[in-house]
Amino acid sequence: MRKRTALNRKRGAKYRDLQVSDVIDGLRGRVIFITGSAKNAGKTTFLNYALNCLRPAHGRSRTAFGGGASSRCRSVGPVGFLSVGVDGEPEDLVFGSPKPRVRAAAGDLLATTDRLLAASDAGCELLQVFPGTTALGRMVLARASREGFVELAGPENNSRLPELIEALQKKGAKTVLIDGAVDRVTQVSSGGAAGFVLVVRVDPRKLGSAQDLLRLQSALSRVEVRGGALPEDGADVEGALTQQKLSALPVALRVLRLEDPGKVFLSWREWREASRTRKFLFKQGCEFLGCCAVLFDVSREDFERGLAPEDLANVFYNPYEEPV
Amino acid sequence: MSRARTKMSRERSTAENAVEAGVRNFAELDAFLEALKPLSPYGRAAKARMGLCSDREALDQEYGRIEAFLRWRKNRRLDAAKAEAALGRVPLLDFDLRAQALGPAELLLLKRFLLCGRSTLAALPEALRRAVDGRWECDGLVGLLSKGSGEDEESFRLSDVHHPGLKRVRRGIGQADAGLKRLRERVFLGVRKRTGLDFFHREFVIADAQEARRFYGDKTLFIEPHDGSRVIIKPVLGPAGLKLGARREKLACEERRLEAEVLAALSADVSAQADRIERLCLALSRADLLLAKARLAQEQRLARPVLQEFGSAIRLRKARHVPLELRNRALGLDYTPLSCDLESRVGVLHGSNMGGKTAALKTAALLQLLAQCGLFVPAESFETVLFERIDYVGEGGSEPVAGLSSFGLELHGLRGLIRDRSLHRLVLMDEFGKATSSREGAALLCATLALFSRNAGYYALASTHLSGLSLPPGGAAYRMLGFDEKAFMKSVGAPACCGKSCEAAEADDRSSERVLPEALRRIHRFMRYELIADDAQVRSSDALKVARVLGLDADVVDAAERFLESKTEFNPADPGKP
Repeated sequence: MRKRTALNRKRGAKYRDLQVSDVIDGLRGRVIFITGSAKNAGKTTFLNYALNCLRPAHGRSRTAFGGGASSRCRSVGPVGFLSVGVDGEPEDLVFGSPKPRVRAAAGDLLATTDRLLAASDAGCELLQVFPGTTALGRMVLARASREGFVELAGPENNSRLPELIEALQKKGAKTVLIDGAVDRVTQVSSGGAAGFVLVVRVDPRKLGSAQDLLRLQSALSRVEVRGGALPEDGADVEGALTQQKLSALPVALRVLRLEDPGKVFLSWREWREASRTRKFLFKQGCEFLGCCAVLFDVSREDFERGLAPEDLANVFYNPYEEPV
Repeated sequence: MSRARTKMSRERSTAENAVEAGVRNFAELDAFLEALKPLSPYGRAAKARMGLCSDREALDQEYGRIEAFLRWRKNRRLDAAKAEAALGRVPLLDFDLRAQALGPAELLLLKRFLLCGRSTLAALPEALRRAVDGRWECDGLVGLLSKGSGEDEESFRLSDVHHPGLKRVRRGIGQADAGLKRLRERVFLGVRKRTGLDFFHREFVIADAQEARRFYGDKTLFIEPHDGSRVIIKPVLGPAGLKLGARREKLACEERRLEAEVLAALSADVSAQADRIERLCLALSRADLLLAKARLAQEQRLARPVLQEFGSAIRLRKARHVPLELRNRALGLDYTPLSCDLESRVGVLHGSNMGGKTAALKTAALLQLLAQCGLFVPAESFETVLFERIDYVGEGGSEPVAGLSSFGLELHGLRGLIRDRSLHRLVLMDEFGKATSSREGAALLCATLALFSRNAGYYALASTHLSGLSLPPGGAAYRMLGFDEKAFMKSVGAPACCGKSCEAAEADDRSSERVLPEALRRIHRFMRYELIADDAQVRSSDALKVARVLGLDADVVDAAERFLESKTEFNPADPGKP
């Protein structure tokens, strides 16, 4: 069953106008994956914004900027963050394009490698060293003692991710943000507290595919999560669900249960087509907290045109382009 | 670490030999050892190095140490739990302790290793510390690595107290940070008042290019294109910001230089104490393995082996082959522990098919291997002697060799262990010669056993179905009791040789998945797995009874019986008519 969170209640009450502050509220005290539609979609920029909002204020209050108190100042405690790739380096390692850097603040908990940490200027205290090494050094857990830039690198093996997240939580991180790919989401979703934010880069060439991605993710978020026995015409589908696998399944199977939403490897159109004749279930889910649309040469009106209200209920816009 | 490893391997080579793969697999040693679980990487490495020890004094000392750990574990549970918790957190020091520039991660690993080592040794009483040669001599190093640590004792930071210059530099960085923060807030506030742009939680904002035209020329704002219709606007901190930033960067460079100095000094301290750390590694590996052995002995009710002079009898009382026992339990079958006295150095073991001959050999092999690996054994008691080699000849005993049949492989293995007669050897032979003619196989087995009997360095036990064996002088024969015909008749109402009895017992369910476990249960119910002394005359192997109980077609078994009774040539064209 879909969880009745405050965020969902807000969506239920009013389909349009999901606000960034609502999404930020939904991140507090949880394990959140920030996933992206493509490289340079804006994941790390959103991570920096979320970190700014979620950190204990340390005297930096909204009042200092001339406004009143805001929910964006509220913190539930230290934040922890890590990446499943390499993040925070000045340039993209593949394309050489400039990349946003990850800024740590005093008290932040982070997981990266010892070699990348040595290059940081955040004056970190090492809290834990994990067994084994990666191409970028040993995975370590650290606490920043002052503000500074850090480069993040994740474990080489997906299975290490839950261990890192648990270690961050044990050391005091109330909210853990993971800059990472959507296929890693479900590894930690079984606890029920995990969620994810999808950052989508929308430009005129990819407007249709961005909308379809949003539609697909919205549809998947509405799929029922159910364990236990299946009806007679139901079956569990092992591994990824591709169009080829779907075609090979007997038509008589009307209910298909997948491990989690990350196992759906169908386009929006394929999913919509399949959903007409079959009911889908997931063994475990991961709450979809919203889609951050990062617009390039596309207006909000153009992006929203053709989207159904239930899809728009999941959209919020790039927090850096709020009205000035 | 390399020096510690060399020391350990040298230690092993003086007293221990690796266990041969053939006998290791036959005895299912690894399956048993899965339950031996050291908690630290050093204990696990020590477990992997365990080999066959033939030094009686060394083994007796090891058994004594296990007993001491066992007593301590039973009597001082809290202390034992503390030691086990500390051992479970010991990290592996997978780097060179003598390296000139260890990094913070290596130093944190070392600090945690030392703290866990200290906790482990502190939990052990003096006698056990001596038993593992455990001395705590790293207080100075722990002090160095703990300088200026925060609340978390097991964390590591190059603290201000490590170098007088660090405090000054870091204070400077802090001041620059504070100055930048104040400047940023002042600039942000000014920009907000003047332009309405809000940089709260944002390093930049994206605005409509047309609207942003009014900000062109504002020296506190940096504007660049975002896309065709919008621009990115960033606040500019101006010369004051640049000055503070440059100062901070200079101090950060100075900090890195000083930190490198501290790391080099700490690395030198570590290198100077590498021998002590390596001694602690060894002590922890010993303590961990001994604790694991004691835990295993307690959990599985293991007994201390009694070692006798070479030439003495081997005696097993209620010995259990634990992997087999577990498999039986999974199938819902009873398990009969083995008790026997192997008085002679050379013995022949015969009995029914499925009567437990191989299981008896496996049990003897497992107990002998465990005893010589310095472990207690799954038995009520076990008296034995020590061997320099333990060999197995039989199926799976040798690696396949191209061109050699199973019989060829048996001979290949046998040749090797006969050639070198200088060592004290235990030879376990399972169904030797079964792949050749029974007459020639028996002749080869007799000749081999006679050779073992003549040479005082050999102990041998051979299971066989071969008939016509003559025991060598001083040899002994043993028999598994086998199928209990009387009990079977009492239970089923007909002898096992009668096809009807088994058909009745199977009722009308003939699906093989259900019949087989039931048939196995029946065989186990009526098979007597005791081993007794006997003469060398091979009696019935109960092969036909077992075949019938296992559900072989009654026509085939009946024909086989008629053939045995007639003692004439078998006519395969018409098995019903001899």
